[in-house]
Amino acid sequence: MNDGFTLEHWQKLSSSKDAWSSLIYTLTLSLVSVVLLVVLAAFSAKMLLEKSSKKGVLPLLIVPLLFAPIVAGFAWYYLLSPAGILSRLAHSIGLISGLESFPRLVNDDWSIGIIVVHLFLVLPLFTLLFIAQAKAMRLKEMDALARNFGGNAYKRFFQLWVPALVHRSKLLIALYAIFFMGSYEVPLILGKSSPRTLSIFITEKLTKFQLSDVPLGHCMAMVYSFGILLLLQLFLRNVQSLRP
Amino acid sequence: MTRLTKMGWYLFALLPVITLFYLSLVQSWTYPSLFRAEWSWQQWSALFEAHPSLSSALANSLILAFVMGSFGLLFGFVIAKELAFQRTKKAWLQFAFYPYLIAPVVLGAMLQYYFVLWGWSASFFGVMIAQALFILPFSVLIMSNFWTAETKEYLHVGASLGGSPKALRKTLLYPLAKPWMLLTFVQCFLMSWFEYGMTQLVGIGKVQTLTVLSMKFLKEANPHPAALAGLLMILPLALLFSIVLLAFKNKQQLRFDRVVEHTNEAPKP
Amino acid sequence: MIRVSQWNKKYGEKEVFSDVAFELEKKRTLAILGESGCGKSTLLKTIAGLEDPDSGVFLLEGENAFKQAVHQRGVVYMSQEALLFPHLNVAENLGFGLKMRKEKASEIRKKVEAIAEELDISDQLEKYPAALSGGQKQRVNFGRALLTQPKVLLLDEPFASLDSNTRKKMQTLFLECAEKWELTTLFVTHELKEALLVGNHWSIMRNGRLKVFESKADFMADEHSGAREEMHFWTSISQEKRRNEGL
Repeated sequence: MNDGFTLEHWQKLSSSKDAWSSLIYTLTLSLVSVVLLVVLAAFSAKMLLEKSSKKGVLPLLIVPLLFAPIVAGFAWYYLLSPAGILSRLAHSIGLISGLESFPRLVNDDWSIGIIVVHLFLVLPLFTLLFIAQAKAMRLKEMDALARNFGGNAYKRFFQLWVPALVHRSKLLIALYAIFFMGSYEVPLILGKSSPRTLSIFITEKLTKFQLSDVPLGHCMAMVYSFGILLLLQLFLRNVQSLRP
Repeated sequence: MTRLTKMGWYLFALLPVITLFYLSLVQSWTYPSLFRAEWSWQQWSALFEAHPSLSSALANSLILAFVMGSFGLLFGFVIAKELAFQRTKKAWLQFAFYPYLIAPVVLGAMLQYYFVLWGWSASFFGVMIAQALFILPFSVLIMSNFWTAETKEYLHVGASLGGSPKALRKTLLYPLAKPWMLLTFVQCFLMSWFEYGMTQLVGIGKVQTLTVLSMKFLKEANPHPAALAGLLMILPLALLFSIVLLAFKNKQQLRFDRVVEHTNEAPKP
Repeated sequence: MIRVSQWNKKYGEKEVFSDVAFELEKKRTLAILGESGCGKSTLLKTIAGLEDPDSGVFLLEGENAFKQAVHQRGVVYMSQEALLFPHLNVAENLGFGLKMRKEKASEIRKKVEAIAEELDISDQLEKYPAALSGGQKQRVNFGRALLTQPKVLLLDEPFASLDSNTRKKMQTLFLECAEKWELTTLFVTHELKEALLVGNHWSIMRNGRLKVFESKADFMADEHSGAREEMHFWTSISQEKRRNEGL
């Protein structure tokens, strides 16, 4: 197998459709997850900041913390799959006639299941964080001021709440984007076999018995590693600033 | 709208829990029956008899997580201290992020060759080493929050007021470090407890932890024991969290705001 | 009595202070006036034993203080931040030094209550530092240092972060305590008036050099003390006032 040093595998990687689609899919999935995460967390922080609304909800936010990704993936799989609990509920109240009429939410083209589980695992923490930060920045008072200036609810949310909170936690958001890229168990359970995330792609290439694929896996792992290190350099230039 | 958000949260957070309990309590589960499924305590009552592998998986998970938690605590405390006042601290801390950020499973896949070569593959020891590769650096990241210039100043003041190094360790250092040590332990424990990919890769399915076993049941399309395994992972944590919260109730030293912010740094996907 | 001579210190190539020398009798206060970054904090930390000089002689009550560990030196350093231990309440913070000396708990409590009375913080004893105001924190910090009856007390701009009212009160309190507790202190400040108020001896630290003056008049006459500008300012104000009244 050993033919000495060669760039052949790199050429193979650059022309591999499978590798490219995996890379693009991973980046898109991570981006969509993180955008939804930020918007929904900002929204629920805004809502939960209303007087007494937090009561009862805050302990709930701890629940997803207790879930391993694999358990969360599995629980949501049995909730969302065509033969799952939601489908049965829909059937029992007459919304659908059978499992084929239930919309595809797992192993689907839009990765809905994966995104839902990503949000389930992380949204509570970001909500808690955003509540604390909104309080520290007195966003509610600013919001009232913006209303006096005639800003409507939509504008106030997207031009005040979201940018302010994003600015304050941009490092953490960047970290989470990277973490989503490395997501493994969740897409393994809820994703399609193609395209698949980079972590699944690399692991498959490196550990399956197709020996000729191993160098390809290493090349992709290198690309991924350098990408991560580059992002780390970009975002964490000051690790200290992550800490209060 | 606020009420709607609240309702949304109730559903979102509780549905998966309900699902797990439900799946662990029903037996025959043919579509479309939901409430008319066959209810049974059998899974629970014969918890370990019906699935003997569960008890050993639980033991493996617990041992691994405790070892990782304890080692992480010690390692983080000592190494973070050594790094704290070095010029290269920043570079090292950035580097400590890498094994976790690249996803443990990818790291495991990249290093699998060496694990096989050194005979660590498929062994409990190998899995421990593999987990340590990304958990220990992370413990340093957490503990470096404690070893700051501020901590150094407190120790200076203590010494200046007449505290000997030994007395300062007891009265200042450990009490001040306690919340961070606890956080490090819990975080490392969780990282090990939740880990699937690397454990499966290095253990090649022979070192069965609860995550590995859940996936196995899942692949066998056997949701009922899988749900049980999932609950076995959640319930001890719920207990641990309650104990931690009780232990620190109303105590000044637990800076909850900080803790919440830092819990964020070890996300799970 | 403190005797410091030929002290030098560098961080790499950067000189922090050089050729520092002074003497201070017991129960006296040396005010050190200086801008931030002039090396005064490092000087105080070196006296406390928290930093080491590159060279120099340090005699404290006749003994070589460099041979004594920080906790045996009896020199207490107080910084601008009160640095109260966050996990201990006010009473425990006040009694910290006594506890380190292994005094009996009942004795400690008695002394803590007495000093709290003196510093007007008796009602704060059970509170934790996070619940105190800036002025209260510095009172506790001060009391914590006093209870150890230090040979030398080092104050590094202790009142700089307080508002002007609280600051005045603390200065008065310091003077009362210095007399009652017979304190030997080095008081670093960047405020001319504070230096004049608290000191019996005066010095200026600039670019790592410490200049000690023979008298208050010499100190005020020095171009770097800022006294001349200050006097000029007030003289012109009063002249202007007189002119206006004359009109």
